[in-house]
Amino acid sequence: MKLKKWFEISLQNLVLLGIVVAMDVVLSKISFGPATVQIGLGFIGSVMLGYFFSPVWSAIGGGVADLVTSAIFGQQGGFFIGFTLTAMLGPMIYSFFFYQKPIKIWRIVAAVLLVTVIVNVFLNTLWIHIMYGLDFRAALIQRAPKELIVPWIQMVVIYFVLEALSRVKIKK
Amino acid sequence: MSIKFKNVSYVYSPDSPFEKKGLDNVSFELKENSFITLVGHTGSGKSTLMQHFNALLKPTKGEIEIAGMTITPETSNKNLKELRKHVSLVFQFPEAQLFENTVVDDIAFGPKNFGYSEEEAKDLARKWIKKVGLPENIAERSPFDLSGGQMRRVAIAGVMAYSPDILCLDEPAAGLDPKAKKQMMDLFKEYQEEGHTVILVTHNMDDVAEYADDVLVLEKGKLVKHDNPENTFADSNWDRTHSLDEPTPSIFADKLSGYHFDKNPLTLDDLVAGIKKNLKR
Repeated sequence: MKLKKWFEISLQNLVLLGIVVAMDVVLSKISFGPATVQIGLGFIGSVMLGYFFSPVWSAIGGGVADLVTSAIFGQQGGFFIGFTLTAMLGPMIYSFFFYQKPIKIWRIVAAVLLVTVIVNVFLNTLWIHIMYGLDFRAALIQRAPKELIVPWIQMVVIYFVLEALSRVKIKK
Repeated sequence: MSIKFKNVSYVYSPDSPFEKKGLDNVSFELKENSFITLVGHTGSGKSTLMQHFNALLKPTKGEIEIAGMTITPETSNKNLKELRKHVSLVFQFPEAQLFENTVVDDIAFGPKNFGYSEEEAKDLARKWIKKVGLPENIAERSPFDLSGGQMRRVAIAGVMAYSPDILCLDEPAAGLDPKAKKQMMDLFKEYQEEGHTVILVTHNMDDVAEYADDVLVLEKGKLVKHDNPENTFADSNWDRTHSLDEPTPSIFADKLSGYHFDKNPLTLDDLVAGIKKNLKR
């Protein structure tokens, strides 16, 4: 019963999905911080998808956002379907934790850690390994420092983003 | 002190295929504590000019003196906070920038950003809720629960709360009902009379006639006239060739045949007085 509900979407929400996908595309182009640890804002788009939409539609939104980004801006190192998959998986995981659920610290921590480990550390490293034949362990070690620092910053940001989103959602 | 623009030019995306001239060698001097209006056709560079007042855009060429600071093409983004405390912009449809939980928090955001304490900022916010003509009990409500006109007032209160010396408004009354519009315009006039500078971007020539001391007319990025309202609207031929409308009373006066006006009536009061004089003759 719940699964069926995940597939339903009203026209109004479909339009909202389009807007959030567009925001995701724009946010993913922005990054800030000192040159050593640049933090991209794409994760905010993923969180918004996950917060507003069911896991199914979050994943679709994430996939479309990745395709649109590739189409408009091109992808560094060429297009690879694996990254579209990971772009779908991130919002989906966030959706499992945030969609129609109260905002709790543990949810944020768990969601970010899961996304970091599965998406950023494991899968994205795997794609690089497949694309360039780079040794998996070497690629992993190269990415490790960033993935140790960034999630904690993301958690804080996500907390404030969710607080703000919940305010907007209450009003009609 | 005055606001001085010296040969200011601005080019969007220079050295690219999208290069476009926004401002072209603009020079003028504005007296502080006056009510200035900025008029011109859509795309004439009004908004570009307005964004120069607090250095959201920096001139590609030339120099700006404003609020005791000098802005040149080399001015860095640091130290601009002080400038923005003195020179504020109210963008078109400013209600889009509301975001806080409550109305009072939203208005207090600006003052807090410019160094007021939490307490002071909230007191100011409450004061300004009244000043812009909102009921006091609105303070603790969410800004998103309000009507469009009320949201507009909250946003404008947020920009005026820290009393900037120079207030730039981009069509602040667009889409308001006539009474609310009059109220807002009177608020700005009153603010100017308290000793601040108000710069108003508008398409409404009746407002120019009613409130302005000084008019800047832009056309295709160039400043084509800088004068008081009487002189600006003195020559209707010139106005027409520069796609500038005249205030309604002066259009009406033109259509009256056999009437003679000592001066071109710009406001309704002038027009009525002028017609009375004619009838007595």
